[in-house]
Amino acid sequence: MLPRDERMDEKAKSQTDAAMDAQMRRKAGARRTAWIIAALALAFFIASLVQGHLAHIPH
Amino acid sequence: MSSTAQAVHYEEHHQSFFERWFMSTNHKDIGTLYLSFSFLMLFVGGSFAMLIRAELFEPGMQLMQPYFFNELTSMHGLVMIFGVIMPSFVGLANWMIPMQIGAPDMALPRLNNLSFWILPFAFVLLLSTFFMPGGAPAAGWTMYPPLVLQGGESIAFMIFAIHLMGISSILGSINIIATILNLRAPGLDLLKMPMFCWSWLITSFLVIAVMPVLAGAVTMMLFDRYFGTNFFNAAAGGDPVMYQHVFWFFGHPEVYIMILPAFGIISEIVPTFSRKPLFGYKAMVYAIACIAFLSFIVWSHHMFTVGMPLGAEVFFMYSTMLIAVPTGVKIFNWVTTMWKGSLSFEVPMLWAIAFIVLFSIGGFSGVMMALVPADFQYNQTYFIVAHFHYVLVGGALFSILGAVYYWLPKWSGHMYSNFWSKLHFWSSAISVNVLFFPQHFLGLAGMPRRIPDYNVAFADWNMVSSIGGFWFGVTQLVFLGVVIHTVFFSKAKATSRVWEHAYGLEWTLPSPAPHHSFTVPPVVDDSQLAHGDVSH
Repeated sequence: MLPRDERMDEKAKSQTDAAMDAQMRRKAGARRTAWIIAALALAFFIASLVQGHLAHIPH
Repeated sequence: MSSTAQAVHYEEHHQSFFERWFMSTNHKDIGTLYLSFSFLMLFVGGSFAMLIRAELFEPGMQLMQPYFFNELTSMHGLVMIFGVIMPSFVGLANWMIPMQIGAPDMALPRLNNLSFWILPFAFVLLLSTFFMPGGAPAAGWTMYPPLVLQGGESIAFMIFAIHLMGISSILGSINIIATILNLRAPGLDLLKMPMFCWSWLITSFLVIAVMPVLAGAVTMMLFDRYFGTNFFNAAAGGDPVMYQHVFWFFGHPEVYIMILPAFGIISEIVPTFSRKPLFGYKAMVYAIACIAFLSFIVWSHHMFTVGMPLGAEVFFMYSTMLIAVPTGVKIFNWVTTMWKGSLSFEVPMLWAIAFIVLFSIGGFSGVMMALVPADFQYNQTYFIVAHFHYVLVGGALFSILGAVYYWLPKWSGHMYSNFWSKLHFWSSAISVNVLFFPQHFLGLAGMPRRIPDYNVAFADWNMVSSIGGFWFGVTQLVFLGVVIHTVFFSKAKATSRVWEHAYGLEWTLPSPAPHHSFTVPPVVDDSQLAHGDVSH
């Protein structure tokens, strides 16, 4: 028996499917962005607690 | 332009009341929740203001004990800032940002829901302190130690509430940044984005930077009160002025957090009703970025009288004067947008013009106070109170009201009554000036702020101010009526575009906007965008 050419049987991606795939990739990127920004917020919190030891502001 | 948006109206999307409103992951419903909550808080904080103005109507103590007056002024500030202005802008962001960028929803819908529902819990905590032994916090919304540490058990509740509000804002801002940077429709470049989206993108970075600093300040305060530390206790080697530095490092960017989204709203409304593109779009974007950057280096202008070295005072004086420049660029660009435009004065445009005038008045008093020797006179007087109420009420609140009148037909599908909405505007615009302009005179005459009783020399203008206050407060009931009537009872249908010269992706959706929109990203056509052609 001849091997099946799977490529002939593969369903062609519609424009809508391609758009939805792109959106899923953007959502994954959004989650990555969110974690980065959350880390930044945490850094500012810790910095505010230690600032008194790092920068002496005269009064 | 063709939109492949699927119009899924709510009727086809079956959720119980609890699921829809308590477990929502829909940006429109969460936006409605934020706006409804902030409207309720407007009446709560406003009622505190009515009591304050009632006590200040005449010299002498008529209505309340002095300590309760202090509780009212402190809680009025906390409620208005954290419960009205900030949640309103977040509600507008939730409603409009996904629609303006062609996204189906915010990037993190469940986080969005959490961000909102933290707030009612936080405010129940905060407002419950009125009923505790010792009463509500009474050291001002700025909560300076050592005074605030002398309060009762309310301090723990206040600190916890502040932490929760901060977490809500931070999570919301994470969501906004992730949404704008990742979920814009293909073809919608950053420099084609609506100004409201730009203003919120930059504001979100400010929130991320400074809300954790507030959390740090109140955490140190909590430790001083309950765990025996001495961060702010001078007798043990700490420094109460350090609290002021940390607080205002948050506090000054915070006031820009409360005004930058307003700038974005005005940049949406003015071009629509001038029938001209926004003048200097790129300059407007850069001006917002400049203002955000400069807001980090002006904080000590809130502390000029605390005894800083002269070099520090001069630095902050210059930086504070400098921040007026990009702000002035924006004012001039709005006016230039209107110049030789085909103006029409629908209700949103009235609010936008009032914003420009009233915010500028607040800005003038701000530049006056930037001058250190002058501020030695103005500090802690009613001159300051007049300044920040002009920029927060005449500025931020008026922009929120303008935004609601601008976008309510899109949200509800109905037009509001022209008569009642214009009555609300004119009554508010006149009464707010009767309320706050005389406070400039009181401040210049030497009346201190945060006092429940005053010298009889200040009586006349206080009476005028209180009359303005009652008038302004009652007028907001008209707004309540307009909103309820428009959403539930109005028969006047709104079109998709609503306003003749409105441009942007949100105006390509039907009115009311479907429950789910842009489920498939739209094909962006520059001619449909307000700033599609960046050559102008």
